[in-house]
Parts: sequence; structure tokens; C-alpha cells
Amino acid sequence: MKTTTKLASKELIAMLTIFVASNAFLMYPRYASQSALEAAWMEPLAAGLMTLLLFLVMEALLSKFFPGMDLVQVSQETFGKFITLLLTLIVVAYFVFSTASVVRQFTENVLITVLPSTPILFVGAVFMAAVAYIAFTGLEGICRTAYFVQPILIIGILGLCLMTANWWHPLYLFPIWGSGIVRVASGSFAYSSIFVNVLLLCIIFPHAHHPRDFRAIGVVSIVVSTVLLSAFLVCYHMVFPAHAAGKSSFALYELARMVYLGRFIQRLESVFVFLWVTAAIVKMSVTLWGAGYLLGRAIGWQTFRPAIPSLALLCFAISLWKADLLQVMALDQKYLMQWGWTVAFVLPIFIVLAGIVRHYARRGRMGGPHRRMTSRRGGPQHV
Amino acid sequence: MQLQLSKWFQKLLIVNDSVVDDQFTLTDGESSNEDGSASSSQDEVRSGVAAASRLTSGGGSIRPKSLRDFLKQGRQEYDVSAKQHVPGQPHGIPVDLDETKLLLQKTFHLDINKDVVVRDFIIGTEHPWRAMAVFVDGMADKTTINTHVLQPLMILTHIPGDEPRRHMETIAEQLLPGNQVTLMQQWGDVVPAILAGSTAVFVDHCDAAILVETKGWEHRTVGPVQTENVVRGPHNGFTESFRANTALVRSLLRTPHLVTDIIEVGTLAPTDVAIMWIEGLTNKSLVEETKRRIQAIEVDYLPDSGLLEQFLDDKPSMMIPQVFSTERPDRIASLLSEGHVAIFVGNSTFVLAVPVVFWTLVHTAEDAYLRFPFGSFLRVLRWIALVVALLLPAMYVAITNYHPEMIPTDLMLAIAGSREQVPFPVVVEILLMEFAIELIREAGIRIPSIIGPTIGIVGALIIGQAAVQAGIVSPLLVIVVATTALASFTIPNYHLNLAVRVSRFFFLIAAAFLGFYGIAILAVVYLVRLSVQKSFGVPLLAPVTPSMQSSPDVLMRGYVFQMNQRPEYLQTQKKWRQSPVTRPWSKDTRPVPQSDQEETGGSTVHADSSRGERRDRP
Amino acid sequence: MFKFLLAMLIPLGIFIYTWSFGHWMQIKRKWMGAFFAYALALCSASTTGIIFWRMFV
Repeated sequence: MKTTTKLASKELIAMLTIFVASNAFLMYPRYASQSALEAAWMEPLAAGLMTLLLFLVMEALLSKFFPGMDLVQVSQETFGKFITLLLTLIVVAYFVFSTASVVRQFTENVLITVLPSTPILFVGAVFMAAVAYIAFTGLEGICRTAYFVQPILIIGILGLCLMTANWWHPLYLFPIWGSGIVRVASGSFAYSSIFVNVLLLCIIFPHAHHPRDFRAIGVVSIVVSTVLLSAFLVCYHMVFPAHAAGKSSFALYELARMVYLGRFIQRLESVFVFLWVTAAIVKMSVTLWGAGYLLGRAIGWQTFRPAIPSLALLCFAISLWKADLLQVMALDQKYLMQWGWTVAFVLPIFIVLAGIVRHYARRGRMGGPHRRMTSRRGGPQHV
Repeated sequence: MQLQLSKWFQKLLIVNDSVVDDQFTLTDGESSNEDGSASSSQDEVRSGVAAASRLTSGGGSIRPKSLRDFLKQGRQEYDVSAKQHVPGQPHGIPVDLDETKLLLQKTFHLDINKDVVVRDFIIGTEHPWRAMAVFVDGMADKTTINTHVLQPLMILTHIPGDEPRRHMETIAEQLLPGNQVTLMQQWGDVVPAILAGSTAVFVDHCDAAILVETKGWEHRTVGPVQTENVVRGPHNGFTESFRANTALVRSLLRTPHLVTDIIEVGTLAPTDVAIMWIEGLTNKSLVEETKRRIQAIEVDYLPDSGLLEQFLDDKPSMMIPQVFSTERPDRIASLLSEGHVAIFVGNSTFVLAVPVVFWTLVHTAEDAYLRFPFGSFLRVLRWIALVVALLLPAMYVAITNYHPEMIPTDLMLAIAGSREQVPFPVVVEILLMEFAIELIREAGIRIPSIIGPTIGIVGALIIGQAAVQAGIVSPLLVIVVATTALASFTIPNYHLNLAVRVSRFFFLIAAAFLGFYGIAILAVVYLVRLSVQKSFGVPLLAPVTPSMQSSPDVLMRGYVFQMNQRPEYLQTQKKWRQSPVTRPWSKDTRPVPQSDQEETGGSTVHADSSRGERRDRP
Repeated sequence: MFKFLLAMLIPLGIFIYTWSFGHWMQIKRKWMGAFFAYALALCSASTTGIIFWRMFV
């Protein structure tokens, strides 16, 4: 293979931040509001904190026992090629289904808000084509674009929060524990799969310019996206009462509609189209790219690019599986959100722990001194 | 056409090795030579056509044989025709003058070609030698020939009584007072020199020719720039003279390390292509890559830098230029000093510089000559203008068609009111007006200058008054279109200007179909496309993304005393452009105190390295 | 039916593309890669076919 693509840490941080923070434009605010009511803003905080801890543990284990290796390599060392392929297929399936679900939610949002009389097939196809094209150009293109639009996204979210300040009712945030500590905690845990960026980071960090920055990239992206999500939810709940918030399917749109700064600046929801379209495109091209890249790694394709159109088509077709949005949301909530954490957290931890056990077992058998595993396989370098 | 279409289809539907092709990436000179990619690619330089056949036969998995044969055949035909056109066979100069004359007649087709002048004369008075001077009428300076070639040889020559050795050296050293006199033994060297304006002197019984430099064809003198005007800064531009152009840059950048390599391109009529860079500063692999790409070009004739640019592009199908072209010597000089490579093509008035990043295309020379706040102001203005020129018509269509709720009611009523008379949908209306504007632009360039003023009157009448009064377009739309046109005129780079003009229509169509959603999707796709594109190995959007270290000279223009480093993306051999402390006397810009410096550590190292670098500057 | 056929044009193109990807892998003697490429091509095309059939016919 030719040159390895190298990405600057800043770009990776931007990509991972957008990847998580763009959940603010999707169903996450709705789910959080439903489960925690007034305390919805605590859910991303708790989930972020948990993710941060998990990530630090994982990072420590990875860098201690498998320096310079990504998760696929660890798995290949531990379980061999066949089981790695199976595990990878699970993750790929997760990525494909979550892409499909997001595509559907997103296109429905577009239909509801700005293009009510355009057929969904057309809107979705245009969107999917753009996503496929961007995934096809590779991680380099995605990360650079993410870095480019990151300031717009952050300014957009914070700006939206501030512009609705004249509608804020801080009292809406009380009672402070919302639906109760237990429900908040269980909700945080159940919807923690929005932080699937950890899994992604464990796979792609060898592509960073300085793999040493692994920890910094993870910590910064988790913290920034947690803060953004929480801030957004706080504002959202100060504007809308908790029960109303749990019924809306598109928080950003509802919030943007409320903007009224005098007669001239009002109803800015169309301006925010740019914001959420860009963020959604970045998010989805990351998952699509991730699916293609993982498949390529596990199967041993020289390049994953030719698989992207097919994967995109697959996502698009699956996204149209259910006839209406409510069914999609039910499925999304029931399976992807509720069980996503197994893929996002349990799987990587399981692989790393199994790798360590295997490592010790091998060392015990060989009786040799402690030996660190080093990366042996290249795998496809094209990203 | 059919072949093109099927190729395109194949590319779209069939997977082959081309999916793993990578773009050339600029690294620092040393490492790229080591990894062998540069040296292996060097081999490909031998023949552009051979390289092409090798590259295309990657698609050989489909129809390897026929395609290769096709290219081979094409190459053979090309070689045969190219050989026929090469003037002068590679052999020596005949001893006998009559034989030389016959050869001249054959080479220059003297019986039908009246441009080449052959002047027979006799040298010396006592022992006359037959001789002749050959030059191309109009290319050579007649005064120089009369006073420095013919006069000394015919009149002033007094050869001593004893038989002198008929050596050309004697004539060259003693008898010809020209400032550049060369002795040539090969016929193949003499012919191009005559065509370039030199005068060749042949003497009977001598197997060599003396070339006297008498170039002196008519060309425009160095005049003001035509397309990149400034208020503050030099006003001279390149002209239609190769040597004048190189000298213009050299006069601004007077360093012995500024080197020029000249490559001839063209088999029928060679054109000089000069590659200029600063030795010891510019990245070596960049220079190599530039040479490699130029040497690979095999054409019969290369008239202008505009054509060379098309041969050098990384991605020809992309609208954004990947080679920088300018007619300002000061621009080229400053780019050279940053570590770019400049390319002069024959007598072209535009000089190229590679690589280019997107941001450079929106800079002007004036930004740097003005003080910081004004340079930045102009840049911000131009960035806004760029967005306006690209998106304003599309936004107008999107807002009026899909998002009327976002504009305040009064304004919306005003728009609706102004559109009341108009029978067309907004898109048609705006396309009509854009078409009119494009017509005026094109006409403005092509119109003979004598009737030039009419264009203003006609344009203003059509657009300003008649169209509105006839109810074909709404007055508000005239404002939109006029603002767009005005904004697009502020883009300093002509190629970028054209790219924006054309892309505007794509955005217009996207907006007409999908409103803001379409614009946003197209913008992101375009952004991704730009962010993965490279120009001579440098990402087009560097140093913003991929983010790299650079002086504050990208989106805005910073203080000049802060621009200490050369752009990182150029991977120059010398990183520092000026000492970090250029104003030690100034309280405001004095460096941080010593204790702080030790804490940060960074600036200490920089200061040292810059000092060290200054010392070992060649 | 006509709508269905029209809608299937692009999926068909993608199917051919992915199939040729499998073929390319086969030329390179990567049997597993080829197998998965063919599988992916079939999977995506058939899923799309079923969905579009349900939508249009």
C-alpha cells in the first residue's frame, strides 16, 4: 500500500465532537426528556462522565499492553481472523443500522421543516448520495470538513441557546432531579451509546499524526461534546416545559422557531438548516465510512472504497423499511439506543480484556519476560 | 465522443487499480528521495506518452491489448511526425561555404521562405575570405548586425600580410565585437539559435559557425498590469518577452541563490519554459516534481502559460485553479521568497507559480503593502464578496421559493409586491438576468474599443430600466444580480472568478430544487472535494485544514512583524523568514521577558534556530 | 411497475460496480474479499429491490 493518511489531532477532535454533538439535532433530546423530564440535561453529563472513565481505562489498557495497535489488530491477535470477522460484522451492522436510522430521522426532519411537498425518496437519495461521496473521499476529507465547520457548529449551538434567552424560564428546570435519580441514571446509561465515538477512536487512532495524543483527543472530544449537549438541553428545557420537550421530534427546529429578537430577526429556523445539514452529513459519513473501513480491515480488501456505494444503498433501503417515522423511532429507541452501549462499550472492553488474558496466558506458557505486543500487521492503509 | 462516453461509463461502473491511486504529496525533500517514489517516478519522465500508456493500461484489465496497441500506434505516428518537423539533422557544419548554403536552403526552405536573410560578404582586404551572415528578418536587431557584425568584418578588418591561420577563434576573439559570441560545431545547435534571433556567421573553409547574439524583435515594453491593478504598490506587469519577464523578477529579488532552469517544450517549434526557484530554500522535491511534469509534456507547440497550466493541473476537471497565474512581478517575487516555484512560458504575459492554496487566490499584492487594519479589511470584504458572488442568487431563489417565513413580513411583502407584474417563476427570472449580465461581461471584453462606451449604455438600459419597466424582472432582482456581478468582480484571480461564475449556476439549480437544503448539501460536497484536492502535493485548503502552522496571512492579513515563518505546507528548507524580534526598540512588540521565555521555552528555541539559520545561510 | 424499473436503475449501476469490485478482487486472487464483495452487491441490490417493490408495485 501507499502512504498512510495522517490526520492532525485537531481535525480528529473536530470530527468526533461533531459526531457526538450532532445528536442534539436528532432524537436524543426527545429520549432524554422523556426519561429524565426536567433533569434531561444531566443525562449527557452522566453519560459523558461514564464514557470518560471507560475511555481512560481502555486507553490505559491499550497503551500498556498493546501500544500502537488498534482494536481490530488486538482482536486479530487475540481471537484470530475468523472471530474478528464476526465481531467486525456486528459493529458494521450496528453502523449500517444506525446510519439508516439517522438518515430516516434526518430526511423526515427535512420534510417536516423546510420541504414539505418534496418526495422523501428524492430528499433521501440526494442526502445519501452526498454522504456516500464524502465517505468515498475518505477519512481525510471528512475530518478536514469537520474541522472547517466545527466553529460554525459550536457558534451555532451556543448562539441558538443565547438567542432564545428572552424565552428562558429557569423555573422549568425544577424539580432539579426531574423524574428521580434512578430514572435519570438508567436513562443516562441506556442512551449512552451516543458516545460511540470511543469505539471509533479506538479503531482510527493509529491514523493520527501523533498516536501519543490518543488520550488527549478522546478526552477533549468527549468533554466538549458533553458540554455542548448539556448546554443545549438546558436551554431547550428552559424554553419548553419538560413534557412538551419529550413530545417534539426535532428540538433544534423547535428552538430556532422561537428566536425573536425584534421584528427583523425572527424565525431563523431556515438559517439553521445549514447547521444541521452539515453536522448530519459529517455524522453519517463517519458511520458509513466506519462500516466500510471495518469491513475492509476484517476481510482484507485492498481498499474499502468500492464498497461504499453498496453500503450507502443498503443504508438507504433499510431507512425506508418502515412506513412512517413513529415506527422508525420506536425501533431506534428499542434496539439501537437501548442496546447500542453493548457495541459501543462492552465490545471494545471485552476485546481488550480478552487480549490481556490471552497475553498473560501466553506469557505464562512461554515463561519469558514480560513482552509487549507490537503491531505486526498493516491492514489497509487507505482511509 | 462515443469513446469518451463509454470510458466515462466504465469509470463509473467498473472497479480497477485506479481506486488505490494516490495524489502526489509534498514532503520535505530528503525523505521523499529515500522512499523511492520520486526516483521511480523519475523513470516515467522519459516519455509522456509511455507514461500515459502505462497509466491507462491500469484499466488494461478490461481490454489490455487493444488499448495498449492503440496507444503504441498513436505514439509511433506521433514520433514519425515529430521527427519530420525537427529542423536540421544532427551533423556537423560543412567546410565548403557553398555546401553550407545548400544545407541552409534545405533547412529553411529558402526558395520559398523569404524571412531568412543570407548576406554574402568578404572578410579582409588583402586575402579575401568568403563569408556569409544568416539571420531572420525582424527577429534580429539590424543596427547590431550592421555595426557589430558586418562593419568590423568588412571594413575595419586589416588582416596582417602573412597568411593567418583560418581559425574561427581569431575571428571570434579579435574581429567580432558582439557581447555574446559563441562558436558552434553542430548544425543542430545553429538552427535554433538563428530562429531565436541570433546571427550566424559562416566562413569558407571553416567547419564551425559563429553565433552573435543580436536578438531584437519588436515587443511591447513593460507596461502597467491589465488585470491586477492596485493603488499602492508597483504598477508594472509582465510583458511579451521571456527575458524581460525573468529580469523583472530578478531585479526585485536580487540574490545569487535565485536560479533559473530552462526546459524546451515543443517538438515542432520549441518554447522556452523557465523554472525559477531559490536554491537552498525551496523544497527540492517540489522543484523535481515541477520539472518532471514539464518534461513529460510532449506537444508540437506550446503557445502560452495558459496551456502549460492545463498540462500541469493535478485534477483538470476541477474548476478551482491548481496553479497560480499572475502578471505581477512583485507577486512572483514574494511567492518565490516564500518557497514557491515560478514557471515562465515563452513570451507569455502571465507567469505561473506552484503550488497554490485556495486562500492565495483571494489575496492581492496590495493587502501586504497596506497597513494591517486596511489589509485585513480588504480581505474580509473580498471573502464576503466571494460568498455573495457564489450564493446570493441561489439564496434569493431559496428564500422566495421555500423559506419566505424567514424574512420579515414587510420585506416579504415588498418582494411579493415587486414580483406582482412578473410572469416568470423566480428561477427563470434570475437565469434571464444572469444571462444578460454574462453577455455584458463577455461583450465588454470582445467589443472593439472604439465602440466600447456603448456597452455601458446598452447594458444599463437593458438591465436597469427596460427589463423592469417591461415587467420581465422585478426591481429587487436587478439589485440582487447587480450586487452579485459587482461582488464577483472583486475576486482578484481570473480563474477563480470564472470558477465562481460557473459554480453559481450549480448552486442556483440546487436552490431551485431543494432550497437551503440543496445549497447546504452542495456546499458541503464542494468543501469536501476541495479539502482532499492537492496542488503539487499541497492540500488546497492548507493551512486551514489540514491545520498547519502559518503566519497570520491566510484569511486576514496580520502584522508584518508577526510573519516570521514561511508557510509550513511548502516544507521549505528554511523555515524562518525573519527574526522573531524585528522591532526590538518598540515597547508594544518587544518579546516577552526572559523569565517568561524560559517558562514557555518555545520562543527561545525559535530565536536560536533563526539565528543559527541566518549564520549558515549560503 | 415502470416507476419501479426506473427507480432500480441506480441500484443496478451500484450492483454492477460492486460486482466488478468482486471481480477485481478475484483477479487479485483474494477469494474472501471477492466473496464478500459479491455478497454485499447481492445483499444491497436485493434489499433495495424488495423495498422499492413494496413502495411502487
